Amino acid sequence: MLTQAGMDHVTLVDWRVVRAVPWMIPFLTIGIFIADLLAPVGIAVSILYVIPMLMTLLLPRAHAPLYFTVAATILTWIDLLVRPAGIPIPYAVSNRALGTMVLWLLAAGLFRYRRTQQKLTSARVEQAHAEGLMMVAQEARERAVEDVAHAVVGREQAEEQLVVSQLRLEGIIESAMDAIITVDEDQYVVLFNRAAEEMFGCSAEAAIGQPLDRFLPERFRETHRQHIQSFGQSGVTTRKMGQLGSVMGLRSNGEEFPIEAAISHIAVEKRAFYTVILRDISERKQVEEVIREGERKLATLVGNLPGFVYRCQNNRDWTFEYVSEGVCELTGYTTDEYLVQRSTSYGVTMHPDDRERVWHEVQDALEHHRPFEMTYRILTRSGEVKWVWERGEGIYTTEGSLNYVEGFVTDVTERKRAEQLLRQSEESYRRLIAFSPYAILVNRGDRIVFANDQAIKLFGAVRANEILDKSLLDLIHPDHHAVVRERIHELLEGMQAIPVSEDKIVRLDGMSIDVEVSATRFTDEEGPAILVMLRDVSERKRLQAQLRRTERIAELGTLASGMAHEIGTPMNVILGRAEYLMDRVTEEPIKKGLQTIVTQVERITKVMNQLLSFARRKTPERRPLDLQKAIEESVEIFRERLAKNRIHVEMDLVDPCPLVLGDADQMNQVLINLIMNAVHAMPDGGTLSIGLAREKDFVKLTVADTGHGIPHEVVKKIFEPFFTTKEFGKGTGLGLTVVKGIIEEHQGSIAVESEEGKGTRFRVLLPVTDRHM
Amino acid sequence: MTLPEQKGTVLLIVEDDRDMRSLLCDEFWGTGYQLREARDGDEAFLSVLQSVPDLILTDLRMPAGGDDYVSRLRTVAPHCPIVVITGFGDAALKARVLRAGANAYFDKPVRIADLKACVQQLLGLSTRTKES
Repeated sequence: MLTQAGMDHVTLVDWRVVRAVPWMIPFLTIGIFIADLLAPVGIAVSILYVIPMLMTLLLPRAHAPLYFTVAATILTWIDLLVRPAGIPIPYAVSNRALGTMVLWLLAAGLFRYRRTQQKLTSARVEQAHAEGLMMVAQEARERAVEDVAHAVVGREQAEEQLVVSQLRLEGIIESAMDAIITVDEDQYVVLFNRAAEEMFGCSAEAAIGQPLDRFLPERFRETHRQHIQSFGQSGVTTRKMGQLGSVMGLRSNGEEFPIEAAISHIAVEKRAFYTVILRDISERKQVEEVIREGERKLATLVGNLPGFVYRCQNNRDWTFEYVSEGVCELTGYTTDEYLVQRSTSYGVTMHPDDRERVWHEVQDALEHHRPFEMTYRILTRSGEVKWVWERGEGIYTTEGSLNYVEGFVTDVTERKRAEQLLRQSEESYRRLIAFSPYAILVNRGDRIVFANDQAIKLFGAVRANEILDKSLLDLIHPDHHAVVRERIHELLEGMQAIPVSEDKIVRLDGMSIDVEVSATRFTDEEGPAILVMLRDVSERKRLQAQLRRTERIAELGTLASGMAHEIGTPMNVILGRAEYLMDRVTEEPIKKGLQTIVTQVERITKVMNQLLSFARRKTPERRPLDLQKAIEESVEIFRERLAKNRIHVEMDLVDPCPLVLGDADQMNQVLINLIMNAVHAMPDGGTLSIGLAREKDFVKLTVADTGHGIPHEVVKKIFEPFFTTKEFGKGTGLGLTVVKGIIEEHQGSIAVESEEGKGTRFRVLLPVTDRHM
Repeated sequence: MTLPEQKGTVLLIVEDDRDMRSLLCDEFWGTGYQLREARDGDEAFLSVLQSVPDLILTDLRMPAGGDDYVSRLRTVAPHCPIVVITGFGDAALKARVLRAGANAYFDKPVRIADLKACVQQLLGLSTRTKES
């Protein structure tokens, strides 16, 4: 209203003047004060103060003229006091008194005018306000009339909203997880929600109107009542859960349970109500108990770990942020030394030779965000070296940067030692297997999974993978498959080992050789397997066969010798009697018959002599021999016979021929036998070729004819004793047996190749000697 | 076949086999020699001790025979020619027998013709030795 009056006032004068006035009044006043000071005495300059005073009318304050008049009066009288001496004082005083009086009269007049005007202005404002209110009232009345019309509809809506609101509230109360109980000031239940029903096992109907005590165990009732009262008097309207401490509740079945409660009190129509919100914390208590138990268990577990767990910074010292007690047992340094005093660090505990490797392995794992696992050495406080195994990983912030490293370290010294022993043991077994004279194979699931060097050699392979992964049967001679399969079966069925047996294997080059086989079953982590040991016995078999043959021949010799003695006399009687009779008969047929007897006895004699010469071989005398000479001598013996049979002799002898160590007589016997065979093979003439050449460490002697040859099925038998193809009477069947025996005694070999109708070639190999004649 | 100068020449035939002994006797019977027989080494010894023959034709493999039989015989008949006939002897045996003092050695079966020739030769030689 004041503002409004001000505004009215301002409209009377120009607004620019109004803004200038507050400045002009002091200027004028100071100007008048200076003019009064300078003007001669007698001139009533002070009367000029009237002008600024009138200007104060333009100021909004009603008291402004009075304040100005006080200021002007003071200034007028200061002027008199400051003026220099020599001025007629009485005049000046009266002059100023008059001026001051005029000013005061004017000021009083102005003040009264301003007051009157102000009253008038506020009356006008009052009136306008009253008119405004009347308009509002009228408008309100119109609206009220409208509202009456809406009211019928609106009341129904309002009632519905009220119901919804109530339902919502009840819904909240009913569906609340916490029990909500409201009691009146006498602590009788007035509200009991569903959660409360469940919690206390009591229906709302039964609970309402009952004292709250019913839901508390006996011993808490008194305390609780006091609590509630003191709470009511404290003026605090709410108290949060847990502030009451844990309280026990009582279910209707008498069971007590821990609860946490919040309470609030409200006054409705001057009656106090207390609303209690209760939460059954028996489960939470259990959970807390479980967590506590879990923590205790963890602590026990960590404490019982054969090692320690840690959390450390990722630096070369591996500065621990946490380390479990186990570190002390492992390293000899206490957790305090690592964590509190920091007198040592895990980086220092590590063995100097392993520090770098551990650092790089961990860094590599951290870079790839994967866990690391490694084994390294540490140096304990007492200087002992221990092997530890560690597994750990980086712990990262949600942004992905590394926070710290966590892990577990345990002592594996014993294991390492065991491993080392195992390795040593393995190494010695490996050596055993590597240097074993036996070929060793391991067969697992019909597949060879291991073969030692001997086995590789035995099968004629160069690298192990040529026989690995093959089936064992692939390497066995087909004739033995059934037996071997049966044995494998027996082993896998539970037989521990099979006795040593002789089998034939097939080398990679297709050659079959005799082996001695023993096999045993074993089972390891990968399941049952068969260990097979093989030994090449082909050489032994060959020697055995040779020995058997030699023995047989020796027996034969003994037998022949004994027999010869026994039959000598009867034969002599037959021969003698035949001759005796022959001299005394004249009939030709009888003479002829007797002659046959004589011839046949002579044949027996020849056979017996050969047999005996074979049986009574004298101990050979070995000397370095030039076979060329022996050949020439032997051919010389047959010269006449060869010529008679029209046999042409070709000799291809290397000169000088390497010497062989042999018995000259035996060599002659060999040559004579071979040449004689050739002569017999060529009754109608042909060519006898004798060759002598060097072949590596052997001298090769060949005797070939262009005769009738030997039938294929007979070739194999020609070295057997008493085998002969010659006409009855021509051969003894011992010639080639003797030859072969002599050659083998000289560590040589003899072979024959023959084609029927084309001829036969004997090839003899004798070792060269470095001795000289 | 008469050889008068050989009359009175005594041959001692030592042979354990009856048939063989008989054969030898038959063969030499008609040749004008005086034949004496012995069935084993001991008989041969007795016979030689009784009277030394002009020639001894003997087997080796017989009772009281054997390798040393010739040398034993030689002790009682140092100059009498000894012809040994034995079944399928070997060169070593032949050498041993000849070393022991035998004058000839034949393997059985021997051709009677060879034997006769040898005997004749030996007797001629010894006769000539005697004559000279």
